[in-house]
Amino acid sequence: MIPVNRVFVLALIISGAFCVLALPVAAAPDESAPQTADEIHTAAQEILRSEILHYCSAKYLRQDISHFSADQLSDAVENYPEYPRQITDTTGTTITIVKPLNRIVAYNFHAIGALDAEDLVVGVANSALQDGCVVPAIYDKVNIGGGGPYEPDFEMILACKPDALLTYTELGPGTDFFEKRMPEGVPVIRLDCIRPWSLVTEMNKLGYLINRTEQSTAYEEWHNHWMDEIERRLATIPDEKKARVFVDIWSTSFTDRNNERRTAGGGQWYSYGIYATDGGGINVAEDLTNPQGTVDIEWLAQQNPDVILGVSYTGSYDSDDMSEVSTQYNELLSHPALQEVPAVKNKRIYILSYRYTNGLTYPAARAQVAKWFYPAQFADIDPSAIHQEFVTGFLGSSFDVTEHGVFSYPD
Amino acid sequence: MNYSRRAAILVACIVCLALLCSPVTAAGQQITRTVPPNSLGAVELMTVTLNVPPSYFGAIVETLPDGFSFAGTSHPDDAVQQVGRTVIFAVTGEEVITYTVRMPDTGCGYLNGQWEDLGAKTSGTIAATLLSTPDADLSSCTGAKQSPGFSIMAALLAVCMISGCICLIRRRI
Repeated sequence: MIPVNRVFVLALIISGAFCVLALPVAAAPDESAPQTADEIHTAAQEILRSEILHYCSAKYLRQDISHFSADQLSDAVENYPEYPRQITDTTGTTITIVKPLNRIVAYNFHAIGALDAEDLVVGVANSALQDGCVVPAIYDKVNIGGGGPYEPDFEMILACKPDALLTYTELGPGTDFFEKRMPEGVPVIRLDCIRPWSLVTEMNKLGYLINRTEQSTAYEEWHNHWMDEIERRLATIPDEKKARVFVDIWSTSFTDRNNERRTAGGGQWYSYGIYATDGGGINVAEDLTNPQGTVDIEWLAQQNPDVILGVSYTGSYDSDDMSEVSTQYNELLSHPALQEVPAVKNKRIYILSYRYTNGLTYPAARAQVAKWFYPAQFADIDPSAIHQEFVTGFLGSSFDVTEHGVFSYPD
Repeated sequence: MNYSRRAAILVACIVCLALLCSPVTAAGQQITRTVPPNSLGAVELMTVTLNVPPSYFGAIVETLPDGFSFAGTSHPDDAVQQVGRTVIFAVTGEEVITYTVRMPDTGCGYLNGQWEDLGAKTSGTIAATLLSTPDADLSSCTGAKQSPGFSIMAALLAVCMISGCICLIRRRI
């Protein structure tokens, strides 16, 4: 039996994660980051010129303008034309670095392995350790604690002597914890690499910033190849044949699941709804504006969805326990009020783990959803093979996604 | 006096002389400004050329004399900032910068410049250049800032040290 306090903590983690995706975070600026050597050098020149002008405007014209210190400019000159480098992170903050980053504390480790940048990282969040089975280098890093509802150990972060901190826009500590306390000159970079619509942009920005553009470009090519292929096939589905989908958000903390379910309406829960629409389906709750996304079970039954797509904040690489996702499947399948719903009658209930959807593996997860919705059009597509391409090609791991891990159910 | 002692004094003298002869810094001394000769007669626009040493990264801040105004430059737009009579050029390896100055109907004044080598973290001034219209009264020209050259303190120190060395040699002889 699970202790009550663990249930509480679990509920907090789940709530936090849902909130992260639910908050109407502004879409990442869609500007691209320099990727080729020429682009990087051109950008470095523009940035350096701008910083020189700022510095001299303050010094010679007494203008009140934020500017680099003389030391920063000297470093920028020393590393020119590879540096300075500058991005706008996902919170809209301008991040400028003048020399290579070599001691990153990665509270968000999502993209580090895929960018082959483990050697640049000195510290990771406790929650990152669960990915150690696919990125073993994590085990060699300083565990700064944190993850879920827990704050990291700030003294431990300082002990890492970081030259940058990489974290999320919403998940984890905010500006009071990080930005206001980090030593001067140590940027806090907020890039998520978990939302489908900003994966490539954020990867390119991070790759540029940490000098891993070869890897970020490769990821963009891989990502776009599969997204274009999925898109091409979905374009052949006529509107009248599109699957009507109910997105069921697994929640143990908010809802009496016997009488209510949580879903992704057109309001707050839009980011989960994208999993249905990206798979070529029609979200039956699209017009709902209920901020909590809670619907009566009878309402769900009346929608007669062809498919129920479960989204679960369970599953991981380091677990083989399918019950984490099958519980939701079985609950929906056996619910008395849903027995006449086409999705239940035809056993078209599918569960996705957040570890599959919320991250760089999204093209594989999207292929899985599209294949669930339209098996004939995707008969020759193997989502697990796409997933394996990512794990083998980008993480350099021999981890077999068909043998281990919990990513989706029942397939 | 033994030879080693003489040699040491000689080296000290050479160092002092080097101090006297050395510029403030190499980068600054190598930045030169040229303007066309006055014999060209009355012109509306005058082209100023700044020659910059290779691999110079920093800024050049030019201050135009009263009555003269900045009219444009060949330097990239994103590397120039002008406020009033002051023009800042951000330099990232360019070796020649030209800009034009709109001349007054009549008048003269000194064009002053400062340089900031951001890689070496040094700064200094560029020798002032007289700008004048053909009919200007040159005796009324003002505004020349001190030209670069010897650092006063270094020069004084060098003079003192050489004097000391000479006295020392004489006493020994």
